[in-house]
Amino acid sequence: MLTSCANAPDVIPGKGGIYGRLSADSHPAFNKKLESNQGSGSVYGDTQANDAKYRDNMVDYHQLDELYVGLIQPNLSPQQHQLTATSEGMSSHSLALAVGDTLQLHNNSTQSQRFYIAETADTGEGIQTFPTLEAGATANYKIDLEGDLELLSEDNENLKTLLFAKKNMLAKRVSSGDSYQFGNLDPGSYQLIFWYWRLGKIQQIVQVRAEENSRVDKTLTVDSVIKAH
Amino acid sequence: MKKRCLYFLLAGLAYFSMSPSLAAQSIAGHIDAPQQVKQVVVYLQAEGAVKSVQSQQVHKVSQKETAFHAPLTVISAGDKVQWSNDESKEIDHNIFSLSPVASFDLGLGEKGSILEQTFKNTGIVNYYCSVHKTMEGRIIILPNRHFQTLDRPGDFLIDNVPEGNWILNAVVLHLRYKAEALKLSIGKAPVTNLTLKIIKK
Repeated sequence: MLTSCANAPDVIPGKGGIYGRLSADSHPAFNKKLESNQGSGSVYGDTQANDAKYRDNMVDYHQLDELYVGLIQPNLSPQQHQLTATSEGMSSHSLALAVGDTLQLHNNSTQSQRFYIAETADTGEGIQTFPTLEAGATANYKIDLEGDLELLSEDNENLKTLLFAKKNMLAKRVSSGDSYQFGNLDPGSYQLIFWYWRLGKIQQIVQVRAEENSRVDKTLTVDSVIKAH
Repeated sequence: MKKRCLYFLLAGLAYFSMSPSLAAQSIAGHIDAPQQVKQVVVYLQAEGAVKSVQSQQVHKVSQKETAFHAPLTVISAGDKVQWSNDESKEIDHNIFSLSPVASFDLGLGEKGSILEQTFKNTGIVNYYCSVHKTMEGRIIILPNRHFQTLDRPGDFLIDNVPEGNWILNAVVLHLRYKAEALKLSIGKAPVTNLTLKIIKK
């Protein structure tokens, strides 16, 4: 649920900012049914005041913690992102980053891993391979591919992180309902991208003016993403 | 009566002898793949502009115990997929996809309901239920019905392939690998002992 509380960036002379709140929500048909099925007889379990008692196998959109907001801006310095692999899986299920960013991979599994990144589009054949990473070792890899990607290992099927890479994108990870901010921006037109791996992306152009902060709140739902698709 | 039967028999023979060639052959071979590769769909694609008219088929996917059965459906362009909610309890499911090949949101389906979608374009469509975490499915849409799905690489056989020039290829459900497509000229004899190699991208 959106509230009015989201921190704006500090105002800097000649600069502007973008801030807001990013959330995810269930399908509108689900919410509608929830409203009309409140009580212990609800098909979704015991519900009270639109608050579903989510079963373990259901997606609780208000608890999602891997939502990303990305800002496309020129002359962006490469960022570094950390991921750890154990025998059971990766430390993050998804990661948004810029082409040219560095991925610092720590192999905390019990065997060496041959990591690679592949385009996921069925027409895409792009592949980026990395040297074998020994058990216990850490290495930095620069991301060359762009688009919807997967980081995988040839040696363990459990190791998988979904990547969204875009040129000149500064991405921030938030939990559903959290606020975000990008400050110290030159006045002009900027592209914002909101992403959750299972719900896809919504893009929006935002005008930034000097000494002003533009607020952009967004809620990712199945229907809103598909309308924008 | 006998004369009339003979007349229809001769007329039928004359009709089929004047019809365009309906010859069709089988194609058989082996998929040569590394052990990491599991499911593959071997298929034929007509080389050049070949128009074939095929009736729409309906493929059924069951939603039961919060999973899609089967999770993989292979169809031909123009076919329809129907998802039936076969849960034993009152559980709703949603089906949506953000695939560039086909993005859709079929809404919420109650127990006993059927949701459906027709797929016009070829490609791969990953779809989900927005209500349940683990419900993921995939549809592979091919240009025709000349295909075979293999759970593991091995021998394949595709029947009733019309004469002409074809490309033998495979959808490999492992992002590290792809098939090394083969050009084939199908004549009046079966094609056997083909080897389709699965190689690293």
